[in-house]
Amino acid sequence: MNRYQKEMDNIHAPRELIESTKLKCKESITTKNQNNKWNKKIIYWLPAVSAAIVFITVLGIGFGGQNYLKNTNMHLGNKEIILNSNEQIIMKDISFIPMEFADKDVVTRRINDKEVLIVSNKKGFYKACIKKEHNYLLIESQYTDLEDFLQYLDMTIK
Amino acid sequence: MKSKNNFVMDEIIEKYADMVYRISFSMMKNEADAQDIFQEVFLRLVTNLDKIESEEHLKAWLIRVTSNCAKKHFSNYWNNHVYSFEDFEMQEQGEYDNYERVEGNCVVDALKQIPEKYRIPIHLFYYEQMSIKEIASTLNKKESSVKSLLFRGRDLLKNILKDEVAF
Repeated sequence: MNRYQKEMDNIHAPRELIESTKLKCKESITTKNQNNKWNKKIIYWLPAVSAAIVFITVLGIGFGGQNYLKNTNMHLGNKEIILNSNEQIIMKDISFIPMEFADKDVVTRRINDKEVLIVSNKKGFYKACIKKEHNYLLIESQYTDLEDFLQYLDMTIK
Repeated sequence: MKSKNNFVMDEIIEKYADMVYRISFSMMKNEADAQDIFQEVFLRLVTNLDKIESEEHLKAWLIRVTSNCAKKHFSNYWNNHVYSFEDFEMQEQGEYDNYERVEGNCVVDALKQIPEKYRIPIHLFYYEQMSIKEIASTLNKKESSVKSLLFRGRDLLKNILKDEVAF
């Protein structure tokens, strides 16, 4: 096998191949370093971004919970608005003020420069009356918080 | 070996270029395939450089990866079934023998005619002067397997070369 050794000794990697391989390796090292930098950045920022997303989501749920009246889809038909399965708001055009608004417990509020009479017979059940041109608008709510009811009036009365 | 930079790669390529090229050349049909394997091996080294622990480990790694790349090349359906237009012309002219012949390289040419599994052990044993134990550990084979590959490979080479070369 000495002959094999002699023959192999005469075989060398071409210089062009060596140089082009060096060049490709340099490119590969550069790409690898860039990828490593990105990976490090991602590893560094990933927890921060995740925390931010969780924070924003929690914040959004919090605000959404408070302002659900604004965000709830309202099914408007015959002036009856269903906010969700329990809460309900009914709007009626009436020609006279109901007797209950003559009660001493009636509260008067100015909402959007309009005088609104509000009365409650039972917790969660509120009625508001607003004077229109020739008649009155009666807004009744069932199973609703007073704060939500006022918020709704603020949105509705323009 | 832990520092990964262009300088280290350049040094390694310069030092092991001939070794890697000779192994790939002894295994592949032609120079173009040998050059492809050569580049693939060093590009793989770029991504694995931090795993190399010593000079011996590097040499063994290069031999093993060159062998694996060549095997992968052989197992590729495309490479086994597609011939270049040049090959076709040679076949038409009756000069085709599947391998590029280098003038005066009769043993190298004969080695390329025996099945590929015998080529690396023969090359490592007779050219790189590696022991059977070293070859076995480098190629992840049993020593007995390496011995039998060397024995059979030598027999096949003898038959091809007959009176040309004395073993």
